[in-house]
Amino acid sequence: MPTSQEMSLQDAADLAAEHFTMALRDRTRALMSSLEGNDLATASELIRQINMTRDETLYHEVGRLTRALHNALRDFHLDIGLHASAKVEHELSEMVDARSRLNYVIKMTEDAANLTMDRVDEATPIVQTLVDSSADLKRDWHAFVSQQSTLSADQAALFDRIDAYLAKVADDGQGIHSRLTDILMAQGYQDLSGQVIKRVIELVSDVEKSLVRLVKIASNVEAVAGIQSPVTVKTQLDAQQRIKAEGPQMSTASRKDVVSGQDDVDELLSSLGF
Amino acid sequence: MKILIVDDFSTMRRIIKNLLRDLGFTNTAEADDGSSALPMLEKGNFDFLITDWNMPGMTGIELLVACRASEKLKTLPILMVTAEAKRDQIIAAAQAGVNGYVVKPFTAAALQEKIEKIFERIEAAS
Repeated sequence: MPTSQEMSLQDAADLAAEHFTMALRDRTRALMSSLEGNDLATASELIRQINMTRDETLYHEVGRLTRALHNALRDFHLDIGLHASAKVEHELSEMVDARSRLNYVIKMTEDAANLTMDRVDEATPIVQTLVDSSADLKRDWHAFVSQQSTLSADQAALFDRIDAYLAKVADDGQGIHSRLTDILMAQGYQDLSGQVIKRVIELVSDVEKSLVRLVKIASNVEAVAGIQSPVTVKTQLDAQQRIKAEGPQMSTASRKDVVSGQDDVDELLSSLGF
Repeated sequence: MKILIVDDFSTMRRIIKNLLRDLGFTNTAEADDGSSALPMLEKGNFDFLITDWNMPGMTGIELLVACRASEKLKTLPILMVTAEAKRDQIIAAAQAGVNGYVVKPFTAAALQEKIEKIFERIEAAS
């Protein structure tokens, strides 16, 4: 015979329900016969017993649920002050830890993005100086060459090479500049990934809060046994919800309610008269 | 041309600021959400607003609505640069009076095009 601790919560609940059903059956038979025999005193005593058994079963179940939740929360090492006397293994709850890890990811990507942009900011004027000075030099060089009355074939070839080189420096400088802009734009990943991570942090917080709330509700056995009206969940989308920020959308290709890129945005806006 | 850039991610503010600098707009200021942006807009003489949508505190759409409700800011050109990509959201922004909408991730060319288009329209209207 397994102890109640070794039994799963479901098994225990099934067993309790079975006990209650059996007790109900036994007493119902006795109730029927006492009613048939007009023994009302015994009948009302049996009804009282049925009610008591039902209440006991309910309290028992709520108590079991409360303990199970406490255990689950202890496994999560939630920092909810419910185990002030218990030995707390971690200073921080694992949930808090998960949040701080995710915040760390945001911080690391932000630092990396900033370092990248610092270097882009440093490189941009260097490239610009090269482009500008080669343009200046090219102009002066042209003036100088045009003043030369006679050039040997070798000299002319060298002059042309220098000319082509100065033009190439300016061209390549523009190419580097546009690549630096691409590198800058790519750092936008930090914003997009950060928004997604922030939503996961919110989710973890919400789960934690819900668990804490659940354990507090369950702790208050009498309040629960008093059968309070369940929390109403508002599912209807109202105007406020429609314009609620959601962050980057996932699986956009397969979704109709989400635009798939700037072209889609432009199309939608032009259909609105933009 | 004085431009306010509003985004809760400093990375994105910096990207937009650099792009604007490349386009020749060097007079920019930054705010990290609507509630810090609104007093700046009310006090300073900004000619253009670029804002994100999803921000803690006051969101970009709330800022947009607040601007349109303000006597001083009701005609301020506003470009939304955001990851919010639901059709309903874009329609809501359009109805609230946004002047342009760019979804992240975006390209430098897309941002430039939208900014130029907004100014072309303003010039044509005046």
